Amino acid sequence: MTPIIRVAKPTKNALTITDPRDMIFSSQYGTLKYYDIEFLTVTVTPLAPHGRTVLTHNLGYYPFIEVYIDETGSGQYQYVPLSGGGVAVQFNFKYVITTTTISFYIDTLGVVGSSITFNFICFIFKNTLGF
Amino acid sequence: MTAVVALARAGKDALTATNPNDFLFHSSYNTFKIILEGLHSITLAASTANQSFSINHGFSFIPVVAAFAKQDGASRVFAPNSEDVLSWNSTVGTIGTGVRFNYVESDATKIYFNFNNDNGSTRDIIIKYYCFEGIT
Repeated sequence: MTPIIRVAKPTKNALTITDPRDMIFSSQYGTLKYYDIEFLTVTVTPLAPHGRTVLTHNLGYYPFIEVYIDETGSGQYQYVPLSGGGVAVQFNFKYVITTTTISFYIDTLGVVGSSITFNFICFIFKNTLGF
Repeated sequence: MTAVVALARAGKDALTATNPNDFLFHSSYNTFKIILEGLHSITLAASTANQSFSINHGFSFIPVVAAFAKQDGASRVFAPNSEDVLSWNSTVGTIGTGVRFNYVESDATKIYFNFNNDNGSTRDIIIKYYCFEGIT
């Protein structure tokens, strides 16, 4: 019999529960292993509406990542990949993962006036995607 | 008094810390458990948008899902709501392969993966999917 470490949610019995929703933790289930957080900035302008930045992780495999973006000063983070915009402006944010790098892209259309700076926040987990 | 199991980060005191971010584990906070994960291979039909594929997840609830995709033979991974980016230059921006991962979603019985393939030939795709805890 394999030993199990299990922490139940309040009012649940750790010895008898089988539904993972009733558990705070169970050694039966994997978790995302937090590895690193990276902050990256990309600026686009009316004359340079496409941006890219590349982060080197050198893990040697494709890692599980979560990415968010905000426009400098907005304080409003949104999940990436993301497409959006308004009547006159369109934004497209995306990324590509390799075994050594993560590339972050911004494509815009209709940006006028001054430059716009965006901040990517990338959470990298140790978990391999297994490709 | 409720018993607590807590493991603090290096440099933090498990007995006095109150910020959840100071803990590697704390029994008062739920962990985001991976209850299912796997690889699933599909073939996209040529020149067809809105192609849906599904697998059964086997849970009695709707799980939170995440997924990533890779074209067979390629060395890059892309995410839902994104095209497979082949290259980039500052003049035109991203240049895609013609394959787009539109979305991943789940319901009471299945996980759905939706793609576009703008190419005139089929494309083989490998999907890595995760199920986390239930939405409901």
